[in-house]
Amino acid sequence: MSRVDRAAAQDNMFEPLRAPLMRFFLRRVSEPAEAEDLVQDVFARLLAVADREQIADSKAFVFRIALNLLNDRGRRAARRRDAQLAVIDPHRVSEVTLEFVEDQTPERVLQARDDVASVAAALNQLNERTRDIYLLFRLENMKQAKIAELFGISRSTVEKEIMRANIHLAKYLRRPGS
Amino acid sequence: MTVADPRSDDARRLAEASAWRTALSEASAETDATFELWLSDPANEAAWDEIQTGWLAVGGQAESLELLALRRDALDRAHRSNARRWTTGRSWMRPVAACLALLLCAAALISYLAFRPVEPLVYATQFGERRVVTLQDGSRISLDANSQVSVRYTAEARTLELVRGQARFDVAHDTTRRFLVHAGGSTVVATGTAFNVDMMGDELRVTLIEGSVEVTRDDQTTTGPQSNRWHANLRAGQQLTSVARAAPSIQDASLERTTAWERGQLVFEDETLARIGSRVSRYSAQPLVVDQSVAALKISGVFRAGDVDAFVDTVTHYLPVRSTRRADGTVVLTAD
Repeated sequence: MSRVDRAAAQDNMFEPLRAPLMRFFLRRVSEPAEAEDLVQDVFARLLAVADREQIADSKAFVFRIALNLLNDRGRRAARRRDAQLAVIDPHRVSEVTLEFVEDQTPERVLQARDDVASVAAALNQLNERTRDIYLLFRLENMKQAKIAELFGISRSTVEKEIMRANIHLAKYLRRPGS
Repeated sequence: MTVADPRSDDARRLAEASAWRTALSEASAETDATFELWLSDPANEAAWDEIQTGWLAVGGQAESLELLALRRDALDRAHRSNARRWTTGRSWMRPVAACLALLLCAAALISYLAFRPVEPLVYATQFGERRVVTLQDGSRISLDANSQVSVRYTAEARTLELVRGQARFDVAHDTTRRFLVHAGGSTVVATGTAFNVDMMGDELRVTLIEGSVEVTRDDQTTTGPQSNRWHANLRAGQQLTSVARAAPSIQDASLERTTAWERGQLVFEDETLARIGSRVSRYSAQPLVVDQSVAALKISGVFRAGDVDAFVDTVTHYLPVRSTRRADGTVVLTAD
C-alpha cells in the first residue's frame, strides 16, 4: 500500500464512502480481495481532486469515478474479449428457469456462509459434470468454448451447466435474512 | 403464458443474473453499460446479489484444500474425457475414427522422429550471456546470465526446471497441458501467463507479470515434522519470496525492477552486499566474493550487468569496504 493510499484510507472525510463503495465493487468483481484494492484506488483518485467538500456531498461523482475505474480495467481486458456481452438467449433462460421453479423447496435455502465447509458442501451437491464444468469456468479461467471442446458437448450445454451451478450456489450460500 | 407468477419472475431474474455473471466473466470484464442498465432495476439487483454472493464465496475458497481437490478432479476428468473421445465412438463414427487413427499414427511417427529425444532439452547461458528461446508451443523463455533451464514436453504436460539462475517465462495458452516450472523444490503452475523466477542461493523469488500462477511446495525429500508444504496464489504484480524453502511471503513488486535484467540492468534497492554479490557474479566469469564482515551492508543503485569494476568502484567509494583481487581474478570485498 503506497503512502498516498494510506493517507486516503485515514482521511475521515472519505470514511462514510467506504461501505457503499465496497458494496459497489463486491457487486462487480470476481475476487473479493479486489474490491478492497479498488476502494483504495477510488480514495487515491479522490485525494487528487481539489475540492474535497464537494466530493463528500456528491455520491454520484464518487460512483462515476468507481465506474470509470472498472471500465478502464475492462478496456484493458477487452483486447482478449471474444464474448458478446449483451446477448442472452431467452430460450436458454426459460429452460433453466422452469427447472429451477419446479425444484424450489424452502429447505434447500439453508443458512448461508462463505466458509470452506459450506462452499465445499454446496459444490458437492451438484452432479459431477455440472460441478466440473462450473469449476473449470469459475476457477481455472477456461472459456466456455474450450470446456465444450474438452467434454465434447455444445457450448450452450456448457452455459446451461454453469447457470445451473450459479443458481444452486446462490440458493445454497444465500446469507440468512436476505 | 400471460399470468405473472412472482416465483417464476424471480427465477427468470436469477437466470438472467447468472447469464450476465457468465458473460462478464467470459469477457474478462467487470461491468458494461447494458449490464449497468439491467442492474439498475431493483428486482434485478436483488437477483444479482444472490448470484454474486455464491460466485464470490467460491472465489474466496479457491485455494482451500477442499476446493483444490475438486479442481484437480475436474481438470483430470476434463482431460480424460477429451482423450476418451478419440478412442471410443458410435458405429457410424468408426470409419472416421479409423482414418483419424491412421492420421494420428502418421503424426505420431513424424513427431517421434522430430522430437525423438526423451531426455529434456537443456538451455543454458554463460556468465554475462542472455538468451531468448522460443519453444515448440510458442512459449518463450528469457534466460538471464549463468542460468539453466531444462524443458520436457509431453502430451500431458509442459514440464520445465530452472536448474540455476533466473528466467522469465511467457507461457502460450494451452489449457489441456499445464505449464509447470520446478525451481528449488517449489513448483509454479501456470496456464497462459508471464512470470519471472529467480533463484539465488537458498532464496526463491517468483514474480507474476501478468495472468495468474499457483506456487506450491510439496516436499518429498523430508517427512515428519520437518515436512514443509505450502501453497500460494499470485496476482499480477505480486512477488513471492521463499527463503530456505520455508513458507513464503508475498509483496507487491516493481515489475520495472524485476525485469530490468532483460535490459541489461541490475537494480538494487536497499539490498545487502551478500545478495548483490551473488547477483553481480552471474554476469562475470570472475566471481565476486563478499566477506562475512561486510555481507550485511546495504546499498541502492543501478548498474550495468557485467561491469563488475564499476560496481566495485561504487561500493568501495560509498561504503567502508576494500577490494582485493586474488591471483585467479576473483574480487574479494572485505571491511576497510
